[in-house]
Amino acid sequence: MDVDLIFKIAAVGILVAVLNVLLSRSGREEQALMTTITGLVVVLAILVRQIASLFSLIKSLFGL
Amino acid sequence: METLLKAAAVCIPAAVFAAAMKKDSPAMALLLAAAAACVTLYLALGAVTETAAFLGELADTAGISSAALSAVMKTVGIAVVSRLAADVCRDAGMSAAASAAELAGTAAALFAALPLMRTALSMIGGML
Repeated sequence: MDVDLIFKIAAVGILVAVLNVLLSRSGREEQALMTTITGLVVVLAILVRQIASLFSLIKSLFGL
Repeated sequence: METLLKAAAVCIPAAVFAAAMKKDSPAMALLLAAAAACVTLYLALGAVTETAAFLGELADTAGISSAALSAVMKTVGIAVVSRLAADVCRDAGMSAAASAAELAGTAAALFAALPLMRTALSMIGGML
């Protein structure tokens, strides 16, 4: 868990945003939507692992 | 100091990227904000670990029972988690879910403080 997680998520986000604009400009709205959803799922999969490790740290630290 | 610098190095780029992404994909900006909060909290809690150990020593010296201290620590942990959840929900514009998370946090904190209240009650009963 470090600074590079933020850059990873930002890179995926900007890539997805650019692809979304490109695909929707070329008239492929469905593929643009699919790209957005795929990007969201990928980032969510990364984030869930980090949230799990944060919560396990909180659990062990505060004795929950 | 190192932790603080790391936290700043996480938060500032995250804010910039989120501002850049907000127009095209607001959901991704929200995920980025949640990730920044998560990483910053992780860094901060690493620093809290030593303080918590010192608090335990202090309680030992003062003769405070470990049950009382653990109830306080549990309440702090519950407050941290419920605050994080509520703030992420509020960022997404879901204030109803945020209020529900805060209410759940309050209920859990009260439940964690129940043994302390029982001890106080029995103390008062012993005095009377």
